[in-house]
Amino acid sequence: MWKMNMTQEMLEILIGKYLDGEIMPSEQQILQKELDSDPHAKELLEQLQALNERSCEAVTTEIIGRGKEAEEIFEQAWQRQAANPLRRVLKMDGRLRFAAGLAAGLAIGLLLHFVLPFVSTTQSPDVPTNMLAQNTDNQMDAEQFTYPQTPTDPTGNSQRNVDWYSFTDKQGNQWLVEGLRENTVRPAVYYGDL
Amino acid sequence: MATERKQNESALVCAAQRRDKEALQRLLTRNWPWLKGLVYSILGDAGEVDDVLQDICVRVIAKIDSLREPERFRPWLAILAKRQALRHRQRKARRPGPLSEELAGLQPDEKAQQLFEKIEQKEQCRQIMQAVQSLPEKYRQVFMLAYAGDLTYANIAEILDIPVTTVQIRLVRARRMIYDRVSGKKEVRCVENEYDTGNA
Repeated sequence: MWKMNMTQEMLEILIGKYLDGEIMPSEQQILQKELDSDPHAKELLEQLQALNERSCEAVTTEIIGRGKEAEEIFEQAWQRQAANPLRRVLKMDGRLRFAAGLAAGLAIGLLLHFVLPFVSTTQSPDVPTNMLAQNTDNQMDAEQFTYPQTPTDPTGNSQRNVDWYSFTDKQGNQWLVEGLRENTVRPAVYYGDL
Repeated sequence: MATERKQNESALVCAAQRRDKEALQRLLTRNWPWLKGLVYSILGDAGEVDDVLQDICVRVIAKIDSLREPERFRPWLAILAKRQALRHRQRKARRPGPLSEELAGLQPDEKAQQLFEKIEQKEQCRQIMQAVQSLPEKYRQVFMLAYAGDLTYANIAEILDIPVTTVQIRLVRARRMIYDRVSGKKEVRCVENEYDTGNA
């Protein structure tokens, strides 16, 4: 007859299941055969059975049977909770915090929406000259505007002569470019699909 | 049977969420033994278990209405209890300890207990509890739930959110380590590495 080669751990699992009342009938048969055939298995069962009983006693006396009753601890906890009405108020804190966060986010979003474009148009850094110069594929429109020269500043500041060009980029957007007479070029106004 | 228990528990949770004190109390007291065992498995000190249990009760009272799935009360409670016990353990670790372990060991009642303790059974219980305390935490938790809570493997698996087979193996290994320690065969610390090779 074929005999299963049972490892120590497999045997201990079966014994453990037996002790915990979790063993299946088929497993119990296997365990029974092992116990009948192997005196070591029987000895192990006795050892673990004794340990199991002692463990139950130990946990019951040292842990479960020690300390206050559950009802008493619960009552004290209930009193503690009732004595702190602020907790109930703070329970709304989560929702309030969410609403406040939402409002703050909305306010910041609106602020950025209205302020950012203004900042970017008024304080935009000068575009390096080569940025436009590199874009050689863009053709300058034939039309060239020359605006009248600005009058001399009475405070004595230097006078700038500018030319205005328009060109259409590859995407078909039209640009108005301010060309300074000092051989620098900077973008001025975009009036594409406006 | 288990389904009936769950339905019953879910009904109690629903009542507790409507601030029904009695339902809340029943909910906690029926889970008390394993809860106590779980807290002990983390603290390793039976004298401090009651304080943590009271904190857990306070948390449960305050947070019960945040539990969305009433049928998952046990795992929820286990997580809450573990968190509270770990917090307590951390707080305790930050406090300055006693002057020496010898002095700490000479508490009057313990000393008297040692002096007058002649019953072999009592001594064995003490040895077992010492061995339980020296187990790695994951084995200790399963062991305490099995013995303190008188729970099935499936219940333990549900509470600890681990497979049933893992529960079986951890329990077997925990017993083996305790047996070796009590019988003086091996030191648990050495055995821990030997047993700890797998996921279980």
